Amino acid sequence: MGRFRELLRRLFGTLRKRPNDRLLEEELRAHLEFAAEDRRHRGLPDDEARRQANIQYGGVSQALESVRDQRGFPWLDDLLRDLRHCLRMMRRSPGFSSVAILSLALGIGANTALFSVVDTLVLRKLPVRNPDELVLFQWTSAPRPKFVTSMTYDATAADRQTGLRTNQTFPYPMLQQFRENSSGLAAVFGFARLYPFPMTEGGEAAIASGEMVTGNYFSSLGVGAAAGRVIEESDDRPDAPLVAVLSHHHWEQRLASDPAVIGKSIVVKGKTFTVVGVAPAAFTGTLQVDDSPDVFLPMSAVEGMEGSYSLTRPDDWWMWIMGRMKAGVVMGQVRGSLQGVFERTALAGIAIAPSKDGAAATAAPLLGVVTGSRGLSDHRSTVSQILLVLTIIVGLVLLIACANVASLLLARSAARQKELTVRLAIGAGRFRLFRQLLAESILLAVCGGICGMLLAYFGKDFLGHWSPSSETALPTSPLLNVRVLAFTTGVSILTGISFGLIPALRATRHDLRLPANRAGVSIGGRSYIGRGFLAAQIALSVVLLVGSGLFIRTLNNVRHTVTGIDAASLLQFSIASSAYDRVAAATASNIEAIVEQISAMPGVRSVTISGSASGGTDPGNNGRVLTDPAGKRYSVTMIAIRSNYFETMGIPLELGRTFTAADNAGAPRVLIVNEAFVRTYAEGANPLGLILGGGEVVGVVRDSKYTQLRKDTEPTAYTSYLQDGPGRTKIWVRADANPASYFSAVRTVVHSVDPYFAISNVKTLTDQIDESMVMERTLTAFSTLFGVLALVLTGIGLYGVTSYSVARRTAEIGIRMAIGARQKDVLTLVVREGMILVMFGIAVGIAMALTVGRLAASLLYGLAPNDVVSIGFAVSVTFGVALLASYIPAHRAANVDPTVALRHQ
Amino acid sequence: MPNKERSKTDILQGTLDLMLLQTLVALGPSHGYAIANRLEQVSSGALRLNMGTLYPALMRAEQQGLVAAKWDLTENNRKARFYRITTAGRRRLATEKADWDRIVSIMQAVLRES
Repeated sequence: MGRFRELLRRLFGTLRKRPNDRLLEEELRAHLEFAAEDRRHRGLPDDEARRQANIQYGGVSQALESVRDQRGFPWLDDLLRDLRHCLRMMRRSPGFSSVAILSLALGIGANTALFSVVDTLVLRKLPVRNPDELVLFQWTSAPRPKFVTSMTYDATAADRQTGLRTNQTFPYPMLQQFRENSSGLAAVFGFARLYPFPMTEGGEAAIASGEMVTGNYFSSLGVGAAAGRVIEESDDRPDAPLVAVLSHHHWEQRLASDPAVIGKSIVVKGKTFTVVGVAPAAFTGTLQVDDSPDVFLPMSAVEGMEGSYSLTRPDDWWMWIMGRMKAGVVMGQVRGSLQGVFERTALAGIAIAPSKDGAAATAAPLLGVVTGSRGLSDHRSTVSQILLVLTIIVGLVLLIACANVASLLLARSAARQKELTVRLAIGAGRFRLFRQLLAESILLAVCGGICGMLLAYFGKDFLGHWSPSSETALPTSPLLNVRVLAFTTGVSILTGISFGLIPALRATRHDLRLPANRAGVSIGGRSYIGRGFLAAQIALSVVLLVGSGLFIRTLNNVRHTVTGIDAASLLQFSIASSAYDRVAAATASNIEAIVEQISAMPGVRSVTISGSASGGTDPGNNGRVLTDPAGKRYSVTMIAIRSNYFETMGIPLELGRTFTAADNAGAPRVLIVNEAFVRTYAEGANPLGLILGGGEVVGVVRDSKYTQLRKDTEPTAYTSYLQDGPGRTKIWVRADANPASYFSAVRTVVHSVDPYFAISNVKTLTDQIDESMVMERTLTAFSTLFGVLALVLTGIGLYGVTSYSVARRTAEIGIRMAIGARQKDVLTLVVREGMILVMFGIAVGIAMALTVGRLAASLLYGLAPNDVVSIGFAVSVTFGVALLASYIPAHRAANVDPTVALRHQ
Repeated sequence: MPNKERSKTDILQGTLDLMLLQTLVALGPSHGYAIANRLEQVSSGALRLNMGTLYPALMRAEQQGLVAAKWDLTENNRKARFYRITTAGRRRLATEKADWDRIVSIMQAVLRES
């Protein structure tokens, strides 16, 4: 207790020093005065009395010093003094300080910005009760046998090493099985994404997104309502009245936080729901971070809805399942207890693609249990890889900034050598001096950190626009939370120590015996450490430039995989009717009217339609499993099209025929498949005449792809939309030129024909393709920006060091020229010296790039990390900049007049 | 011999707090000089504390809450800072005194035996 009190008082003592010093001095003086008085009483003369008192009790100032040490923390005192000194030094060399702070701000700012994204995407947990108790189910399957479910797009790409695919969707019966058999789980609940649909709210249709949830969803998560109530168990029954809970975001943005919203009705896919509550602001559902729904609907209400999912079929894999573990249960136990149940239920609803060698399918899919504390994470594997690469990039930038500032500090410590020598000579402790130099660099780094924070704050839009999925932007997160703040502070201090350590050690190592007046010229261009920093900068720039080369080429390669479609001059938009009570034929004829009116516009060559085929589970899910008469199953992407689709898109027909107007509802069902289908299922044989799902294959078209460019084209079956009416309709307009100029015209046409249509996603195909490459573009932009920045920093550093060494050697150069060296010789001499360093740096950089590049391998497309073109590009750019940076000072040196140079000393 | 000087202060460092507290109990509230003077007299001149030793010790005791201090006037109407032992100080004094007695008796026993 006493110790702690002492600590507090000492701290206090440090902070309020000045008034106390005076009182303390007064106390000490009184002490001496009393002593002198005593001695006077004994008969000593006044001055002798004072002298003796002083001898016995010591001088006031010495005593003052020892009391001060007791009163505060001497080191804290020193630190404050150091900081004051640092501020003075910084003010004295504003040029140096601002360059150093700016480089650090760039480095730290980039790291802060990235960390805030990492924080949002990876670290932040769901705002629910005890998120760590939540588990998310998934399942994996080996490449053989290939398990096929209705949810074709859900599976991740096969893992490179193991070939395993991971899926996270399950059929509804699985949820019931899990509920009945899970002893370790306090609750099991499910949810699914409802693809964007037209929602009518107060008479106007707009596209909205939804999350379907089981009745125990909110109670299991422990999420209450911000207004009204949440969806309850009793709402999730087939006979229950239809209710909906709005998301806070939707309520705020579209309804202006209308307090009277509870009790109002909304129309979703033709069914009328009563709004019973609003979800809390922080809770944006359990879908992906960037996918926050407008409305939560109970699952039972969704069944029977147009294009909906099944709550009974075991082969309809569409929902995510999460559980909440009981206290003390671990994930392994949950997995173990449910694997058997999962296997039995899964095999009832799974299609097994025939393997080529005819081997029997024996392996079952494996259940997996991962943490659900962050909600869904099915895109995180790619995201985390992107984040890893971005982390490396910003880390390298920070390293370069450190090296840059360290070489600046070294150069400056040469200039300050005289000051330091004098201070050492008059008795400053070496450690004390070292500590002060370190304090200076930490102060610089902290200033850099503050500026970096501002930079990150204002630059966050650069990152904010980037999002793993192209449809929505990342929620702009509040940048400054405690974790980000702690991260930046830590990084700043570490940075300060790492770039300040070596210069501080060197500066204080200085030998006192050197005469103080000569000390000013010793360290400088010949310093190996200084050159080491420079070589490091060059190496790191090479790494960044190789990275940007790789990503630029990847972007280019991906862009060139748009195959089979002539993307230029194509405009696309989606329409969805909110008039569900109307007969489908009426909607279809309105769509046809829209097509005709747009076709009649000047400059429009043709207009066509594509959409998801009916019979699917969801308008957004085109995956279907078709069966032939022999019972063999075919998993395909199914698209319903108008007869002029292939012609408008520019997809050539390879075999058979395309659809005609005669392939209407009354005619026999017909299908057209793509080459990928032939490769996958027909083993290259002619598929014409094959009967699939009651339809005959009548044609084969060439593969095409304009989304998911990195994936291989899926086996696809096209049906005529006249026979298999389109669910969600996409209209394509091929114009002679400039498709973007038709944006407002198509809107007008759509609304004049049918005001019940909600129109969305109006964009040119070129824009759409660009959006789907958002990851590639982000990586390219990021790596190029920072690569160029690194190169500029390095160039400046090299230029500075060369200029400095040339200036120091002016006399030497003068002598060389006086005794016959030509300009060319001097030029070579200086440039060669710099270039040796550059070559060394480049060599190290290539080695590093090859090592680091492997981490980015899966983000590349069509090239390997050791791509010669990218490396060659990086090396030549670095070499060119370095040559320029050393040529300019060399040229200046070579043009020096020998007589002037000789007099220089 | 300089060594003799040093050994004296070494003893002081361990026991100075104890002596200060005991002095304050004996004298009642008193200023620094009175404490130093008293210690000198009691020890018959063996303990001559200079201010650089006395005042840090007083300040430490004050920081630990063993003594309290305030400015007041002496009987001669001079301003001085008076130190007073607190309840916590008395408690500390009691325990340290007991410890000290124990050590002394142990030491005596050991030394006498040999």
